[in-house]
Amino acid sequence: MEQEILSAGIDLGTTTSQVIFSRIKLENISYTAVPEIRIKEKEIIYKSKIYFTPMMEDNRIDIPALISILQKEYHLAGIKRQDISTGAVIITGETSRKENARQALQGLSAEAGDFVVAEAGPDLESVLAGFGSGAAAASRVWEGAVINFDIGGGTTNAAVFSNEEIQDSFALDIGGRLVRLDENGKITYISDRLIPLINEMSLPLKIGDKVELNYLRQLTDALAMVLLHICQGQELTAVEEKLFINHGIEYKKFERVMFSGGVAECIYDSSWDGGYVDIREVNKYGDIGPLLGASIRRIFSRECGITLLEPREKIRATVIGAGSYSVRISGSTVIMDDGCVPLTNIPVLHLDHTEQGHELKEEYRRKRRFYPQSQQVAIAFAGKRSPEYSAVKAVAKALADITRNEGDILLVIVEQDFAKALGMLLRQFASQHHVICLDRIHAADGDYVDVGKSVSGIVPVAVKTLIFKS
Amino acid sequence: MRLKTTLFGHTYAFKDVKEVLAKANEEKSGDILAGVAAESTVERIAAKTVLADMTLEDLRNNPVVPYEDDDITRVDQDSVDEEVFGRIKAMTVGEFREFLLSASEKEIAAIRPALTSEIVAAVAKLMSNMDLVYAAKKMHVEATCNTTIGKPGTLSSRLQPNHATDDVAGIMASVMEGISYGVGDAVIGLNPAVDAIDSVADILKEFKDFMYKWDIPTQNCVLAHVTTQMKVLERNLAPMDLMFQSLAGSEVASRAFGINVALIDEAYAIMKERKSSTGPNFMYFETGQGSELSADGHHGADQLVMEARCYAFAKRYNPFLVNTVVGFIGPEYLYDGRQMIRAGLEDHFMGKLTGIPMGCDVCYTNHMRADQNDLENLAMMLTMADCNYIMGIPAGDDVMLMYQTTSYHDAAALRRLSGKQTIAPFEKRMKELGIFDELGNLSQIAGDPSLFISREQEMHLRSAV
Amino acid sequence: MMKEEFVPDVSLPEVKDKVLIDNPKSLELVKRLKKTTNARLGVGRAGDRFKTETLLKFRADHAIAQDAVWTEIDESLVDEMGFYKVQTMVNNKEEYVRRPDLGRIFSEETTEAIKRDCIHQPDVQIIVADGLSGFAINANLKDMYAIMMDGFREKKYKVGTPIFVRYSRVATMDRISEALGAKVTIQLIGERPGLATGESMSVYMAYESSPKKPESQRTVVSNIYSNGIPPIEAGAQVVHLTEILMREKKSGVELKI
Repeated sequence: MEQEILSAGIDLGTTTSQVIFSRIKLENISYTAVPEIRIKEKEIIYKSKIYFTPMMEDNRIDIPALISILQKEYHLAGIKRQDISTGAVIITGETSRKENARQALQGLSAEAGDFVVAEAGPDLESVLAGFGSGAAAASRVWEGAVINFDIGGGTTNAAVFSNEEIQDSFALDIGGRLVRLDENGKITYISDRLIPLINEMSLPLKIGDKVELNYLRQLTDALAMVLLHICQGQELTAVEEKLFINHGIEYKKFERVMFSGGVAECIYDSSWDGGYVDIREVNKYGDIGPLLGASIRRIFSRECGITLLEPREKIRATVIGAGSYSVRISGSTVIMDDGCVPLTNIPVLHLDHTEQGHELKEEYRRKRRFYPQSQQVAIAFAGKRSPEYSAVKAVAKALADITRNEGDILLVIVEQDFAKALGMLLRQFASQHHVICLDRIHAADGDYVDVGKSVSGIVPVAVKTLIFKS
Repeated sequence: MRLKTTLFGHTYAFKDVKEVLAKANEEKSGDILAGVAAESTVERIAAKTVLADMTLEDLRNNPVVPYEDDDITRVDQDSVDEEVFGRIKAMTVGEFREFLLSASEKEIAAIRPALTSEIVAAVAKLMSNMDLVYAAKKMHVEATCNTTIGKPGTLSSRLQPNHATDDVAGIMASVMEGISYGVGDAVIGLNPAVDAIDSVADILKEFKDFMYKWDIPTQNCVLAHVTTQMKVLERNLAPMDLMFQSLAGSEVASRAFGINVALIDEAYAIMKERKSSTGPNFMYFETGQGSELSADGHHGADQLVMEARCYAFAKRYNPFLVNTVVGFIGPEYLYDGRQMIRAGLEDHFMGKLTGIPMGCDVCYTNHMRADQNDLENLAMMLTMADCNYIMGIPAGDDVMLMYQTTSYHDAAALRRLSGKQTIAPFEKRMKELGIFDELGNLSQIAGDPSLFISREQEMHLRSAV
Repeated sequence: MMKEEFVPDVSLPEVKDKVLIDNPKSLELVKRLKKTTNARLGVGRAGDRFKTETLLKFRADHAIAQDAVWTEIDESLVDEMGFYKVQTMVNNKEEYVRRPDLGRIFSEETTEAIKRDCIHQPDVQIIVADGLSGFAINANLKDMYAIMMDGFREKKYKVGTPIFVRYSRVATMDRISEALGAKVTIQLIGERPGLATGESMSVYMAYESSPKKPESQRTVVSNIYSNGIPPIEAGAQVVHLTEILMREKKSGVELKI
């Protein structure tokens, strides 16, 4: 028995924006009356063209233009917004720092469908790009880790995978559009984030100047060297370290690297070796993207002990990651109330002590204070592999007790497989609440979850783990 | 025809050929369950004595299921070469046993077209275990799909990479480990957990890709129901070297399997047109004593003769592989290791005598009175009997079908014990890969699935860099 | 005195996770391959044979499966829980294994006794059967029964006398249902053991279960044990399914779940 859900991925980037639709095939592989649903296949059924992200004069996002792009793409794909049951809008790179970024995100998600929405955040973006590029999949067949750099216009988002599991993620202010040129080769823009490096290198690059290609290449070589040093586990200089967004990394060696993002299109394009000839060629897009790509290719092609892997997707990696990899599915025996969903951006309150009722209540009270009383929270805990009935009953009673005066919905997520039993008890003990009790999903303190409508008895859930390390 | 005898002063009278056949059978719990077994050991021997005196013509004229009622009886009877039959029909079963034990391979092959299932089963009932091995050893039946199985001096194996949920990565992990033991020259063949067209097609493709990438000369197969495989072919979804179906020995029992002669004829025709393999033999059948009783289609006959009828059915399609799944059905049919070993030897002998390229799934379930030692005994005996192939699964534990069969290790050990080799092109390739040493035995590096990872890695490598 | 030390326990599931290959090309990759399947991969070899640990693990896993089949069920739990006890036409374990036909039926006296002593016309009739593993019943029954009973009480179903059947095949549920006129009959039965899994239990459910109906009348939940579907989760699912059967008044293939 097969079921399909449609998923949308929307990537709103510094330079470009795009939409994809994918079909996620679910199949029930159980012969018995306990369904066992698994994701059988993810197929991208539509890719939009790549748009330049519409911006207004004042450097804010042009939301109406964006929405009309979205409407047009839905129309072209022949997909109605109500057909979409899951997916993610992701706002990436420098765009996420625009003052109306949040409105843009809200506008888009309202327009795109009642689906699960993922917030922006460089770490999340890194992870999605790594799934979309194929780095996660490649890490299954290689010993050691695979690092993926998704290099866009504004930022580089890196994710480290080992055996398809995320190990680390971080972001850097390295991108193809951090320096822009006009058609005459005059510099029109230099990102503030690059100024310290440019100064340290004493490069004579200034807005309004006609560019010296040689200096530009010194800059892109330096940026490429930063990535190389990261892969080699070499410590960066103080100025280079400032390129990290939010947090740095623990230095260690990576033997295999993959690149995605717009700049990757130039990295893997061997038709041009980056050799100096014509400014017009370098200046194809009015920025340093091609030059940065060539620098990376040249530097990583040297004997540097690092293997360059071919990505499955380059410029579309993030949007495909957003459309196909942002969602997990719950176990198949759960307690669900479809009248209450979608629920989005629900903070997770994780309980570590569920053995004793009083400890559970104590921990809950302590952690609940961080959120306003009116705020819906998701209560998550691990649970035992096959717990005893009396233990689950005690947990259910304690949870019912402690949440007695809270809002309408009691949302509980356990890692082990007993949501149906727990949920049945919660319905008895907390009958004033709408109970949603899901299992086989891991969520930790600080995560946010989105819960979608059930499909064939299972529930799509996005757990947004933002690994900010400040 | 004489149906009576005395033994130790007691008279034994049987009402018909079917009863004699049933009571002459070695003890099987399935015959007892069916109520057709001899009631005492002496009665069993009395029945054997009466059976030994019957002519082959008596047996031909008394099929256990009437010609008019059953498509398999018709297949069997209609295939008899009357001219050859005329030469042997006056022989008694006792004489026929002696003929098989003393004749040359060629002489046996010459009379094969005259045999019906009842004749084949009857002579098996007169043979001791060593007789069954001795006679089978001189009957070689070769068949060619992409490669040729059954040549003297070979012992092949089916790589059976079953997985609890048909996860492709998990299936391929077992394939990699199996090939690293030199297992899989008969076929890489999966019993799917889910009988669905798409997943069957996906797995067939995956096997073929692996064979292609690593240049492994063998055949691919997914043992779904024949109708599922037909749909894969009709829609051209995947390359299929071998088509599979489980068979039963009567029309009624076949119905429980969702097949009949007409359906398999149809399957054969479409396979012939669309198969991806090169040779003239492209069908794969599995059988096993007791399935007819289990499906209420045994017509009061014993399980050995019903099993022989499966082989007549199989022979119609010139198969590449046929094997009995000897200990799978459970203790109500084959109670313990002793009965399982006997049945394995009988089935192999009968298959070879019928003229099909016979292998054996040497196996047992957890509710049988049998264990690993019984399995190993039968596997060694069948190797001696020149059985075409056995199964190979990781450490003998089938995590999907929940039974135990021969392991990758068993296949390798049996080759070394008997001095046999895998099919020649497969052996050559294993030597090239360094899995076999120059003598064709497992090398130092054999038994390591990570040998097969690198090609997969290469797909992610940038060739230009 | 020497400290008492133990030889490592080969029955532990993690023994199966070990990679025993000498000098694999990539240990890490073999470990990853093993994670994709519960087949016994990466066991290495001693010549062409198993290493001792592999062999002992295998024999241990088979031993528990065999004992699960051949050990008479310890009935103290069903006694303690107040089950009404009956036996099929089978007289001992060996006959049980050899004669599935006798394991499906009762003597006339037994049928009469059931009719005499048990609640008639229940909404829900629970039957526990030893099947091919008595271990399965003792491992899973207590918690599963408790959550089922809580669920049925909540729904205010009329629950029949709980019955334990010794030497039972699945089909006894049809006979008992017929004798008592039950709406939903639920049978918990020990499954045929797999290697290392002697404790796995199945549940068969049918609406107006009857020997006159085909086997496809039954709705099945299987693989219930601590490492499969947890017994309490299975119990909750059975409560859920019971509601569906009561509402739809049918079961098995007729029911599209």
